[in-house]
Amino acid sequence: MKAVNIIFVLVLLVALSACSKDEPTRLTNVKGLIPDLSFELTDEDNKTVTAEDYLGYTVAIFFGFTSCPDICPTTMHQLSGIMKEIDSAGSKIRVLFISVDPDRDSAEKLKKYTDVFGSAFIGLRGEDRIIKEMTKRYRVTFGYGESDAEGNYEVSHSGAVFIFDNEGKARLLATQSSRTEDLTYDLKNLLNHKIKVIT
Amino acid sequence: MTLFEYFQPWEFSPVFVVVWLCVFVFYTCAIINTQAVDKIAKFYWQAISFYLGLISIYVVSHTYVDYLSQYMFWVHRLQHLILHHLGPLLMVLGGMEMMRRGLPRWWPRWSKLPIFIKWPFESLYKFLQHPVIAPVLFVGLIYLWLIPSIHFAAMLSKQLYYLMNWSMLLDGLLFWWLVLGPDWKGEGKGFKTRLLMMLVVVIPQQLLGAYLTLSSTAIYDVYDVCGRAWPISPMSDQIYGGIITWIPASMMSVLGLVLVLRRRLNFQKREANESS
Repeated sequence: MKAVNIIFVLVLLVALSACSKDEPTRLTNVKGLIPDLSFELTDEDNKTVTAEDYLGYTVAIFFGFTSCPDICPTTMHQLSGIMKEIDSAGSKIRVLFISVDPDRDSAEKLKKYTDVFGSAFIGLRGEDRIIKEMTKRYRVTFGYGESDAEGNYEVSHSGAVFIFDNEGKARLLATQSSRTEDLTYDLKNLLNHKIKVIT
Repeated sequence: MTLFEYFQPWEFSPVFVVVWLCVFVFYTCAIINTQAVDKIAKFYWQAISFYLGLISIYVVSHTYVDYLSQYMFWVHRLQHLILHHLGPLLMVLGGMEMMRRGLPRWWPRWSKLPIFIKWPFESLYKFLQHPVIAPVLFVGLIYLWLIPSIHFAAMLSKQLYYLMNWSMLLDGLLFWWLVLGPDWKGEGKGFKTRLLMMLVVVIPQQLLGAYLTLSSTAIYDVYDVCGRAWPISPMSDQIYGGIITWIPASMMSVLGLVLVLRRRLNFQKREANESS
């Protein structure tokens, strides 16, 4: 009886310890937790692009929409500031802003929006179905509120930034509560291959 | 969205479908078999209760509701209310033990299995169904999966999400089986233990529900990280979720208490009739 209790407790502990592994990163290390980068979407110049086109770059993806009043601009400004510090030439990092509101976000609108933050920011869009599939892969979602008289509506969406290494492998997850210095620290380490790969 | 789309699973789970189909088939066979032997046997309400439990658990685990549960805190609380409280209680009240009579002939009988297979399961069962362990586990699991860091991981990782829901369902079945299963007919022995078990699980659930409802900050940021199913403020989402954890969950215990009392009274009545 006692042996059974001990085994039971051990199994529980092992199951639980899987959730709280200590990683040498300040942000959440999602290596192996989240699928690698893969998509086929249209960019802001109306060209079809796939994940392979961004191999060689450290890629940050964000699911947002251009009429977003708070979360999207804040996050984009935060990233823009960090990039000025660690990749001022804009040759190593790409930020892909994937629209979850393709009805309102035309390619031109996306281009105008991302240009504000810098040339490394690229707006991507696709059919509603394709975006839904892509968000499902990363276990995030989005939804629309009721439209008002002028046809405006609220959009609920993920506030996460998923960061992939230059081979397209998922590495880090930044959230709204992540501090800018932590993001800078981890991104810098990722660029210099200093983050340990834990498989 | 069409009605068909609402019933489509968000993530198709073959294990769940197979288990649920087996339970459905065995129980239905059991009813047919019993009816064939004993024509006057009546168990309409039992069958209704069982199928209602079975269907409600299916709906919250394998339809659009499952999608909503992953992206809305209050729907997640509702899902667990059904997985852990209502669904299992309905199934146990519906005479889950009848399923035995629906098993095919070739199905190995438990009593005939060799001791080395039986022993580990039986000791684990005895441990889990200990009158002190079972309520601790019942409330403990609710708390465990609501610890913010664990909740975060469970919502982000598919495997952990399944582990969470399966553990809630199995624990719900075990707990209600212990309290209102067929092993206790209403005898004096075990009556007080059952009353106590029902009472001790109420308070921690109410405390947790009140904490979630009255908390002035958003506790679970995973829903901001992953996005919500539709636009709703994080605080309202948390308040609705807290109320679901607080009120209906503790009302289930009151219902359990009434059912325990009823069974005891019916037993005493039968005893009095027999002796007179």
